[in-house]
Amino acid sequence: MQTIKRPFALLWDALFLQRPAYAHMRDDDNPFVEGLFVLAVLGIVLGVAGLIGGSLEWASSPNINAIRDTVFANLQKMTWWPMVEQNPDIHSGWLRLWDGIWRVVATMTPTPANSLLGLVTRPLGLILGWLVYGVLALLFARLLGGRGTLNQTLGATALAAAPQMLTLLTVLPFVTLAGLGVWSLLCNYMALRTVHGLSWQRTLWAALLPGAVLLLLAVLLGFVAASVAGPLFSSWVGGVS
Amino acid sequence: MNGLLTTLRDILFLNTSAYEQWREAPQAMKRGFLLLIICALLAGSLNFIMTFRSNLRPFTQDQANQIEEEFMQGMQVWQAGVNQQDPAMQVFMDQFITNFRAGINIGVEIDALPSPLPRGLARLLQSLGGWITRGFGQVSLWLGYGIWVLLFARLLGGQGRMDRFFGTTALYAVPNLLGLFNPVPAVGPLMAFIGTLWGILVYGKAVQVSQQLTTGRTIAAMLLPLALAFVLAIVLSMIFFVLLAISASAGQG
Repeated sequence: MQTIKRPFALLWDALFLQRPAYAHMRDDDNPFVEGLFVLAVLGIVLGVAGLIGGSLEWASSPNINAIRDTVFANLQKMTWWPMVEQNPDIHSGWLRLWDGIWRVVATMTPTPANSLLGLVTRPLGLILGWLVYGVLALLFARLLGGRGTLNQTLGATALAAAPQMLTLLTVLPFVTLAGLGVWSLLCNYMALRTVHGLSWQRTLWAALLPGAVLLLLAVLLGFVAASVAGPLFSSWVGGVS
Repeated sequence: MNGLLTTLRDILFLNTSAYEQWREAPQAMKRGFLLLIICALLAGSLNFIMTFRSNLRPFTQDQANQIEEEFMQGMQVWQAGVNQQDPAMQVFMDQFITNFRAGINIGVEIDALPSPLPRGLARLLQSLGGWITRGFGQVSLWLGYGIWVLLFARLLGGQGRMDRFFGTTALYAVPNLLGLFNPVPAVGPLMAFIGTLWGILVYGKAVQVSQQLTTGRTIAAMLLPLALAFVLAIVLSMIFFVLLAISASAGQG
């Protein structure tokens, strides 16, 4: 039990920007392994919380297909509906779009099955994000004159997942938490400042630049994905009718 | 407990030593965060109870009719200003009302759909989720605005630890407790507004004490993020309109 409690005690202190928590990770005999352990435990616990919350949300909501049918039946009572029905092309196009939208809504609606996937994706997502950010942060911190090692950087930046602890509240359905990204940025700032001993201005750049690079990359990938997946999505939506 | 209440009272009266005491407390940010959450949840508690009570009752056709009636009264005010003899306008109004009724009916019928959990429990969970979400929404405001104020405070010569800055600025939540009365008709919104203004004063004092700035620099640190957001919004809208104009002229060409 103590083994499980320890990561949470560290994350709790890191959440409130307590320097000793970050220094503890920096000075650990193997910060990378410690960080990996912290994130794996956190990810699994969050996955379980998400499973409970998602299942409760599903159980508290009407069936998504029943909602769709209700909306559709009432849309047919609207004055513009006869105009849609008059033209077979518009009618079939409208139905394709309608079914496509509801397919997307159905995949995004919480169900026990969807939430079960979170048991795997939550820890994996946390670990992957940490590794990518940690490596980029080390790169920028070193370019700006930092002295820390990769091992130390990864150990300390693992604690930047601390704000994710608050998402334990999603064990209650319909709870949505915003602003955790800003808090993670503050934690990353503390981690890099503790490990690399840079001035506050340089630490700020080292903390921000990995995010900027990832954002740029995401935008570029988004453009590529849109051009490739757009026709695929159209055919997927079109396949319904 | 008495000591905490005395400190909070002094904080409300902008007593500098109370802010310094709060700033120097061990784990200031943890204290600030917990205070912020407790205040935000308390401020939203009356609204939560009222929402839950309202959600428990089924959305009946009578309620739908009442909404429609209120809407129609509003429309009559608008209609008084337009030409009622215009046949096209009358057709538009008839269609609009038919569609509005169908829209309300969607709400009535969805509300009547069963869920696996009993209605009472499901509605309790929905109201609870909304209450917690709104309470924690204060955290994003506190951090999202605070990070910019801290940056400008530092650039203006501020000195002070980050955790102490956030721990102290969280005190703005105390006067915002007046938001508890927001659902009370007439006086509620006024009290909530007073709480907001008072909260701004407390926030300013907290910035000044935590960063050891002069009053002028504190005001600048608080206003510059808003000015930056304003300028950014203008620049982005200008870029948007320029792009829109270019695409429109390209389309004509």
